[in-house]
Amino acid sequence: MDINPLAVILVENGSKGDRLLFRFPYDTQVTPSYSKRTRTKQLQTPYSQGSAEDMPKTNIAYSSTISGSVHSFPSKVLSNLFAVKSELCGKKFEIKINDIRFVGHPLLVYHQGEGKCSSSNQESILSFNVVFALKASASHAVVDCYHEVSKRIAAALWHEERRVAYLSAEAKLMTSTQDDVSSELPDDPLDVPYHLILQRSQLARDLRRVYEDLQTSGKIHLRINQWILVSCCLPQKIYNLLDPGLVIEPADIHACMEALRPYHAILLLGDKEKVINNLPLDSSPALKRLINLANPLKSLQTLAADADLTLSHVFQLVGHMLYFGHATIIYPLCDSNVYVLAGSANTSPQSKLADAFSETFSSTCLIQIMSEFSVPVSLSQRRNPLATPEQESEEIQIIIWMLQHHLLIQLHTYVQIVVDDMHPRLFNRGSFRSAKTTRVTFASRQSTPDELNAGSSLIRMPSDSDMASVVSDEALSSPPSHKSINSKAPWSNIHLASLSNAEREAVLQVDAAANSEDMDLFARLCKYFRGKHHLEEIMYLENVRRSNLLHLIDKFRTILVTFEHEDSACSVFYKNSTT
Amino acid sequence: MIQAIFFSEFHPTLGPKISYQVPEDYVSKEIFDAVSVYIIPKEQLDSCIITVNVLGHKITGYPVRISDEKYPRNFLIFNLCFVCDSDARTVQYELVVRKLAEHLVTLEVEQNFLSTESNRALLPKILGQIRSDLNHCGLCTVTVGTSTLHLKVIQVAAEPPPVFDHHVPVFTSEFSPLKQDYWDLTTKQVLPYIDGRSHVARVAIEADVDIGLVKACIQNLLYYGVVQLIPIFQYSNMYAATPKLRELPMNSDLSRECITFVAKSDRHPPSFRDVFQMYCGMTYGTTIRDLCLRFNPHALRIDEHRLVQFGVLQGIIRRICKYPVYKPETQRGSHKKQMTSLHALCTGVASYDEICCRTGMSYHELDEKIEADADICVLWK
Repeated sequence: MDINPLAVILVENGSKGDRLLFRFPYDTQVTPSYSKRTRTKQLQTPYSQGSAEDMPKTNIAYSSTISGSVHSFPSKVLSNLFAVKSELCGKKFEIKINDIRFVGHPLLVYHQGEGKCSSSNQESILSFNVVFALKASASHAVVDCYHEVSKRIAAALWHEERRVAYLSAEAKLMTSTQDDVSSELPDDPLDVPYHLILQRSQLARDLRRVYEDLQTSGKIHLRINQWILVSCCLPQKIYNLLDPGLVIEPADIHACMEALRPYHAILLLGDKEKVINNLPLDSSPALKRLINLANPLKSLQTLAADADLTLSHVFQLVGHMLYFGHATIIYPLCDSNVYVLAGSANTSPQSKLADAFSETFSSTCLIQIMSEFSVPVSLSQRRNPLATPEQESEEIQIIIWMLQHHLLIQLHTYVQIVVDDMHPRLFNRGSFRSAKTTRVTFASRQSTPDELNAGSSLIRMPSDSDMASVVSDEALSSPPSHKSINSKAPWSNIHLASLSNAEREAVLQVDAAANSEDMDLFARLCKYFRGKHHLEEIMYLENVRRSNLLHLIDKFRTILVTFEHEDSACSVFYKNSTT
Repeated sequence: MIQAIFFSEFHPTLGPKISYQVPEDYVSKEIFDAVSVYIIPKEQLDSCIITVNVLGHKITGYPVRISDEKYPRNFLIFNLCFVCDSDARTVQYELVVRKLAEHLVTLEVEQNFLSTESNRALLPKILGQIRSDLNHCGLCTVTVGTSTLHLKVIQVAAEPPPVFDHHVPVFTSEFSPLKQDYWDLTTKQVLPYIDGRSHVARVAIEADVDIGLVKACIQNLLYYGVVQLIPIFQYSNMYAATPKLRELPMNSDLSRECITFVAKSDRHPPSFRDVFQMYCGMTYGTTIRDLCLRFNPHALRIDEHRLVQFGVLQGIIRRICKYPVYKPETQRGSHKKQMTSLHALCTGVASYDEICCRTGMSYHELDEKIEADADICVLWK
């Protein structure tokens, strides 16, 4: 994994020059990942970038002493690199040396002109830098996340230094320990001072915890000097732990937030009590209330009303929960929802997932359920009229479990208006469709406003049962004689404004267009027929019933095409590294 | 894009400084002073590729040190750096920077190139040439005196995915057979058999090349973006629309490209509506055979094979594969059933395509066997 940190390093730049205060891990035995082994493995593939070894060495003495691991960097070199000039302070600091990338956020303790108040303290810290070492192959988003972590820790340290000179005290402890050890045991291995520092210094222990937490859980929650809270996480790591193979970057979560609508619901990824217990003690009471009330049947809008929060606040809390991997986004469970096995689902019967499933639901087999969902099924279709209430609730529990583990994906129906005119180079059409194509009846043509009729001969489908076609095209281009219904067609210009001329014309040629009730509804909804809104969204936005909507689509089926795929807000959680 | 190239060195009296820079003053004195510790670093970091990204510049360098008593401080340190924008990728320049630095070392050791003023004066011209040539063609040939140096920027792409027997390689864009000289002998032998219809195992047999070699060739072609892998086309295949399908009617370039690609003849392109309706018809439970019966693509002037190929290449549709899973019912029979070789293949990870390729069975043979076996579950995903 490229997400894990290789090391964390604290460097100060003081009145006595730069100094490395603490680094973790310091012992070669603790070295986690970047050993020689992974290095040679990388070289096996012919596509990896050549490293320093594969170029023939000339005999001049410029061989590098720095090899692939952070441990090969002497402390003095690191402190020299990271104790940056004041011009670089307060900004992102990134440097890559061979295969290791270092990222930090150096800060000046006192700004220029802002004098240090006491002259009693001779050893003052000018600037400091908390640096994380990563593999160079780590993605840009991961590097940015580490920068954020470094920035937060630095901000907390900066505050505590200015408040009670915390950093100065800790730095003094660390340097004196280092000096003691080097004066007593000059020949001893390098790791001894760090071991002692770890025993003596709170800050060193905190940094070790940061390193270990990032390595194991991806979440950091600690108080610097038991006072300033630093709480952040690496979403990539959290989602990777939930489901190995799931690749979720912060950008995906932002994309999901963009697509989030009030009709969506949240589905907690764990047990409700467990999620609440994992929250810090002083977390927002609104968040706790939200988690307590969360229900896969409730839309965010209902949830906001129930929890007595504004919708925008709920959205913020949901964003937070997504970032920390507490929840996922679904469309509220209801009978008409259509589910199908997700393309990214792990279908091996020997997987951990299958074991976890059989632990939770002993009576059923995951593979069996998965095969039942191999074709899209709606919940109402799955309902067994003879089932007992217990069986029914277990059925729902199974679906929730599968949604939590991203095994099922919901299909939504989208509607797109397509008329033939999009590509005017058309000649005759396939014979089989003539039966299905628009029949232009005499009456509807008569009611059509004349300006729309111009050029209709191009798209109009002549059919032998059609009287008008016998009348021939000249009759069409001449203004229709009856204009009795013309006053009833204001929608043709106002509400159909989102359609192109050709589309508007095709709409008016559909049989159902003669029915003003249908036409009114169509005019109201036509802006959603661009393949961007699924049926549920249209129902939500325009407050129409599903049956009315389906009826309308059926009546206008000659110009409307439906297709099914997943909702974009939910689909980001199905990204898989293998696909 | 390389914004600038500079040559910096450790001056015996003035310390780190930029001696030559093209274009001049791209990296200001202030910025250089702030980062000079990374350009002329401590001894331990010599001969390391160092990329520092601060103050809006991304600077890639390779500091070198030549120790010799003839120099004022018994050593010469220099670093030839490429400067890019802070959000640019610079991995592809690293090897170029190193090669250049090592070449300069050779020149200095053999000809005292950097120690003689008249030679040094050539540097700005050389740097300018390198910058413009690498930016424009990605290649550069530098001649200094009698020595010649060839530089090439090699784009570092992600590692290509593994190639399996049942994959079908297809050329991504119009592939010119004239450029065949570019490839190695085996690839040249394989190339004529890549037609977007034959799968890897078949290409290997037709080209009479070992399948392992064919896979390696195709993986190499994948790396250079010449081919893409798609599933085998069969009338029993199922496809499903992806969210990208909605872009098709919106994006006029894409829809025009689609129509010309799927047309049976160039002179009579199909109507967009028909093409779009066929894509929309692709869903779970609908095979291409069903779709052909429903729409009769021949009459619509649509080549269904090209239609599927375009959809998969553009990500408009995705294949829904069939995965058989062996799931013995332990309760039913007391005796443990013998696991057949077919059962061993039904792991839930191998699709029908893979099993067919491995066993040499046809789709229907396999389907019949699996249908008849009550212990095998079938998943579509």
